[in-house]
Amino acid sequence: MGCQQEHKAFTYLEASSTGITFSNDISNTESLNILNYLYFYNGGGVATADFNKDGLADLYFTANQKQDELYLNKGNFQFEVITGKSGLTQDDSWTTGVTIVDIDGNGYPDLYICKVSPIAAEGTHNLLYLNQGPDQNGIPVFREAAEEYGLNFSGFSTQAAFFDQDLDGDLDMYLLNHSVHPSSNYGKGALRDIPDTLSGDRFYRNHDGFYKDETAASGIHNGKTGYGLGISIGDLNNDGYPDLYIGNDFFENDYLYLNNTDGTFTDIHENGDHLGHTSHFSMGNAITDINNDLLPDIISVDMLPEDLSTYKTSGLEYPYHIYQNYLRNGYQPQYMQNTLHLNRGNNVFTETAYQSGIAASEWSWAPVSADFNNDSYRDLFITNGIPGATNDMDFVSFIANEEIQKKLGSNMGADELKFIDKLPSKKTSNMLFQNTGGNEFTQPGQWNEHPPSFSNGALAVDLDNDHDPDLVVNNINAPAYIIRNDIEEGNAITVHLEGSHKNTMAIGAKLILYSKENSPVLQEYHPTAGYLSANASGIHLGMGNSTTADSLRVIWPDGSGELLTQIPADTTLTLQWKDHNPDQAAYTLNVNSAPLLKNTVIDTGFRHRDQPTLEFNVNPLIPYASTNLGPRVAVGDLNGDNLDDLCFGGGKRQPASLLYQTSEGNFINASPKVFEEDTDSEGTDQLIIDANGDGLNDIIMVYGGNEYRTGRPLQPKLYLQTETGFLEKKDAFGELYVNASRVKAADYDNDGDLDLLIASDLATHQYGATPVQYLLENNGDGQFSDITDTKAPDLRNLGNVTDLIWSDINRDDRLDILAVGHWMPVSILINTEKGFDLQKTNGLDDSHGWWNTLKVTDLNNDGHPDLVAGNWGSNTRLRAKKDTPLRLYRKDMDGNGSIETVISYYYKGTETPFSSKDELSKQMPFLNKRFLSYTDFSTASMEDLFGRENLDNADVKITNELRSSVFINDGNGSFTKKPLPFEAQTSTVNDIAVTDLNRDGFNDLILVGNLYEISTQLGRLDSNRGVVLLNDREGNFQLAQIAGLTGPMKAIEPININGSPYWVVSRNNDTPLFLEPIKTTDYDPKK
Amino acid sequence: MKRTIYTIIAIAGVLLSSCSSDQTPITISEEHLHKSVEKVTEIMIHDIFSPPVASRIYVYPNITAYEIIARNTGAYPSLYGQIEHLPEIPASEDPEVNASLAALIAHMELSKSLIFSEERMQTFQDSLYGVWQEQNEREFEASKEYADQVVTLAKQWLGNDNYKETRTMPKFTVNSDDPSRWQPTPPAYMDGIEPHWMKIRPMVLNSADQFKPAPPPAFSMEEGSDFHKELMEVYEVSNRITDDNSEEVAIAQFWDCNPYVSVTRGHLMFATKKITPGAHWIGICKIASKKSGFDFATTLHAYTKTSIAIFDGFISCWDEKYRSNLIRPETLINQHIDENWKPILQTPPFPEYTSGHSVVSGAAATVLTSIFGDDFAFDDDTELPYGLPVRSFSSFNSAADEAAISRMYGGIHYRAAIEVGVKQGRSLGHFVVDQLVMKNKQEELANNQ
Repeated sequence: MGCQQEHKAFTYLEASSTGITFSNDISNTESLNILNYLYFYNGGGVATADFNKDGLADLYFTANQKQDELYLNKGNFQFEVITGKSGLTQDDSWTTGVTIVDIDGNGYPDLYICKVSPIAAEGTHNLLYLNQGPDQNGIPVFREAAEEYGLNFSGFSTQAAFFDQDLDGDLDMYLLNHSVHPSSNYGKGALRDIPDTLSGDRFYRNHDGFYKDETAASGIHNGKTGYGLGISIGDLNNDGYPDLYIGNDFFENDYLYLNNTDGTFTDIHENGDHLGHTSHFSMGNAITDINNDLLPDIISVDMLPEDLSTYKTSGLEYPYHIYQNYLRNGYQPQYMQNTLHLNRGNNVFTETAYQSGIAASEWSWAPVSADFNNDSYRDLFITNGIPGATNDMDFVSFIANEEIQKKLGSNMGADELKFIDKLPSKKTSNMLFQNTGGNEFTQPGQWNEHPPSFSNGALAVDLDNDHDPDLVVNNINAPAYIIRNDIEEGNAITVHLEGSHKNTMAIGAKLILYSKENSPVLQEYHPTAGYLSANASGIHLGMGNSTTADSLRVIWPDGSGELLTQIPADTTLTLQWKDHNPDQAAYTLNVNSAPLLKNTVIDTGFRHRDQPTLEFNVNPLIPYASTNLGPRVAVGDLNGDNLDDLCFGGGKRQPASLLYQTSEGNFINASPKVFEEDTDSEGTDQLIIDANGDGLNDIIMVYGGNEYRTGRPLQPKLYLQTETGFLEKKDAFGELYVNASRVKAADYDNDGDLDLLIASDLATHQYGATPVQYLLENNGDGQFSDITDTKAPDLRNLGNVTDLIWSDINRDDRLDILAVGHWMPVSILINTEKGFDLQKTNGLDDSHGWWNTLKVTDLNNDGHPDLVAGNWGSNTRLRAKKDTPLRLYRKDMDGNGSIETVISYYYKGTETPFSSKDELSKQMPFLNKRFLSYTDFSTASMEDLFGRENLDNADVKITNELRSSVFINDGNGSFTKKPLPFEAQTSTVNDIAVTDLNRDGFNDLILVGNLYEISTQLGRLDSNRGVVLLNDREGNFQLAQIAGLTGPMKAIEPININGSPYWVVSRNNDTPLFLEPIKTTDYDPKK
Repeated sequence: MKRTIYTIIAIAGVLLSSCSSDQTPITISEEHLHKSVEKVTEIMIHDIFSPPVASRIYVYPNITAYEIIARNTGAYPSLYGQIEHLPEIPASEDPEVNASLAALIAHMELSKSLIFSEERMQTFQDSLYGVWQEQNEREFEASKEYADQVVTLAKQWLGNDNYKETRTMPKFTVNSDDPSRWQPTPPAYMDGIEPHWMKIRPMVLNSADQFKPAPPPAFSMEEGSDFHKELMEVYEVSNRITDDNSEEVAIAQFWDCNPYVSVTRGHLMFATKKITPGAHWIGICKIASKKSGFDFATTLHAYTKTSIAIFDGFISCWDEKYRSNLIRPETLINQHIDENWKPILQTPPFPEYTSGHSVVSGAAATVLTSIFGDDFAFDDDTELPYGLPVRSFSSFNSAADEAAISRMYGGIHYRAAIEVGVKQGRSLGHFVVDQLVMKNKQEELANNQ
């Protein structure tokens, strides 16, 4: 154990001391530059393996315009260049990726090198260098044999990976290539399946040592739109067969190839909901278990600037509606951000990069996942930097033109080079993120003393055999970095594998290290890693402070297992497949704990249909639309057969639906004709209640959708059940028109009839303005009158209310009103003799959120009702705290008679608008007058932009808590906030089921959510996959299961179907989903 | 002509050094006005204004300067009362005021308020102001003060034209299953620009739809339908002229006049910027004025009348564009005929029908013909700074016809948008000519030549 303060965490070793002078020098020429080869600045990779078998990891660097170089590790961080002696001299240039494989089975690592042949010398093809072993001086000698093996591909290659795709014992190859198709013109997604011989990806199957191109039969995409820059291999679904993640730059989707186990792949991301969104400009990626749950996760890096002013001068995503148009051409949602897809099992992933703290790392290339401090959790090193930032908006709009105007169309020659010189260069510091224990990362200052550089391929390798990973980085126009790890914390072991003859490196083997006080560490062995790079060095497994590992489980590529026990720290093991105990035959990693719920398909015949939102057309400055909020679902018996029936609200241009349950548990459409009269607006909520006290259940519906200001589309409806069916009671609500979010019924005045609360979250077309709320008194016949001003004046202008609850919160036998909403705190109105009074000083002052739902339940069984509230979550750029809140400014900033909505957030302590310059200046052209250049805009404060007077005189609302939380009632009218755990914050929570899932007498939670209609600058919130949380009996919650639900889920309600308990989950623009409890047959979710 | 200015500077310098107390009258020539207009054009290119917005930036300074001349010299009749909403510009009461100088100052000051990069305009103004101040401080200050008063009035006037209000109106809706509806086009997939331009207050038109054209041929992808025939014509003409590299390609490029062309080369995306179609016709107006030897006031009147026609032309055209919301040939050809087809010109980001070039060229040519005559031959070097050659025309109308058809050669318009558009523009141009009394003797002379 070292002392962290005493010395640096990482030491950059000088080229003069290491002998590594390699530098990937590139220079523009008239014939070759960023204007005629789009990946001119993508850099080179690095590979490591013990090529001469002397026990030390050697290094191979790839170069674009120079000679690749091989360095022998002489020990003690001394290296010797041996390229020429090893027979590796190439004169044809433009190497991209390198990978390592022992293709001839002689036990010595071979090199497979990718080339961009069309820009290299005539006849250039990918190279396979067979390592024939060391000569008498210990120098490994190589022989080029690509053609012999059928691997002399000639085209736009990026990187290759060898793995045993069909588990026949030998290694097959995926060749990642990249398109040079004009990147701006995306066309149809279907282009990905029209083969392109130069740039389409390839799959080669090994037939007794010869590789045959079986691309067509393999099911992979190989079209001209694949800008393949990243490839990783891993068994994502734990079926023993390796799967693939392919990162594509620009508009093309990333591909997630599941191995079908029959020799083919299926890209499950092309039409599926498995990943949700991905990175947009995908560079390198990694498959690695970040949270030690034995399920490999996926990291893909992009170019989102971490620096605020770089962010504001960079090209950002299309406006919402243009983006939707692009998606309709056959693409999945992608956003400019790094992504971390946490693997939840069963091909369910939740993307959490923003929340995990790794979404932004500048123009990034390699994600290197390794445990640098031996705490058993893998950290993340990301390389970045670009000599020519082609997305700089000042360059795009202003600089480029003046330089190029007169020369356009002609061959610019030398002028072209001068023009390229004007491209802003972004020399940035690589970033090292420390894993703080599974899901989240920080950036410790000591770990981040990296000089600015243009860094590309990189890897983590223990160069001095001290059981911690050092770093090697290939740079453009600067010597490669050798970064010594001096952290000296924790313990680790190192494992070398020797596999079967056809796969001597045991590619595809899995190792799981178990040690006390640590979660198990899984490593699946695949050399191709870290962007254009390959790591075939020993496998490093951290074990924290344990001095002895309890056991090491090995699953060899053939599925056979091996178990070693009691391994002391700092051990280097060499394990041989031929020696392993054959008794320990096939072993399957068991990763899924017993689930509580299962996702069940029940076809109700109902599908919600909604229209694409137009709200960003009207106001591009809003963070999310106030449309597409439905449907909610009401459950109750409507035909007196004691079976639960279903009532769904309709989408815009769709009537509401009523479904009767049959005695067999099927659902039949029983929607009354009268529903068809109301399809103009969205049905936002409905109730099944007996409104007129005749013993028959009636239906109340409310509408919203932010389109109408008044009139029938916004008039609540009461459908009374009569002997002849449902009839609208026309005068039920008089002249009441409300863009409603919720309706709730209760007999608050104990007069025997049900009174109503109708919530509104929006004054139509005025995002952020305060709408009015309604308390309605039932006259007993289903006639409702507005008594808000007399009985609940505090309710009237309470805020943008999304949910209301009737509940006796203070246990005085009177029903109180609880309310949540956006830009407002959790609010309680106490039912007193005189009416409802807004409660003050109850510990909820700093709970201004973007709340969507509220539940009241006693979580700790102390007799005092607690609160559970669903919020926006932590998985976007937006963070809110008491001192650094989100602010909403409503003001006619440019005096044109219409109100501008400017929303700000704090980024690293600076308040800044979340909208882009383009969005803001289109609404407020005066901003262009003051800040035409993006650079000027990027450093302007809120006051600079909008003026003190505008900000001071605006209507301001704040939000200081975005996390879904519980509020524990301490019994004396005060509440204590406890944010729900990480998994609850990955997306919006729109509804919560409160129920005792594990029968321990304490209520547990099922959270559903997601929101698709949000600003493209914020991405898309799709990472709620049905979050099941168990209560520790004190109101603290832990993840029990991710249920695998998908889509924009709006509501969850318990329902009995055919005598069994279920939950029905409604989804916008989609069919409802059903959840069924497992294990306990006597389970009743209504309790 | 630069030499003229330098000469003035030189003379001013000599006078200043020899007898600084004795100030000489300031002479403003038409060349000053040309320079000011050119400067505004140059800044507009830098700042990137869409064609309709550019037409607005031309018209207000021109009218304002024109009114100063009209009110103070009587060389031309005032437009007060002719343009309904134009406020009455008072004549100066200060005899020190030099009307041409005040007109020029007002032109520059008002232009500055309309473009973004004010400092670029300011630098240009400062260089002139410095000279004038030294040459004759009293005359300059008096003229400047008067110009500033007029500019204040003009700003109030233009502030009520609904421009500000249209900034926050809804964007064009692209989410639609209507196969005929306009969609954003490659490569930048920009929003439809100025979907509310028909709500801008026109100068002479009674309403935006006064010259509402006949609707385009009914949308149909059925072979043999009028619409489909026109679509195929665009595709086939474009392919033929590309293969032959014929004159038509040069014509298309000459009239491109796209203020924001998104170019992708390798990994690089950048904008190349040219003048707008309105600016091109302003340029032709300059060429004709110079060729005719027009003086300051006559030149100003020509610019003013031309820019009014262009301004109203865009309102009329945009009214139709966002009525018919017609899809561009590029979208349909890529969808149905040839996925890899690209038009010779980049498709501009707004609906197809009618063609803006056709309407504006028709309108501008009609007005120019009314000033300079029908058989006025000229060499058009407007596009020289953008790397394009000089083209020669025998008349404004023949130039307008070429500008219009160039849009089909460019692969961005169907024939109907061109033929109907030119007609729409010409009718509008005649209306402007008939409505506005802006003649003086010199102009009548020119017409009789």
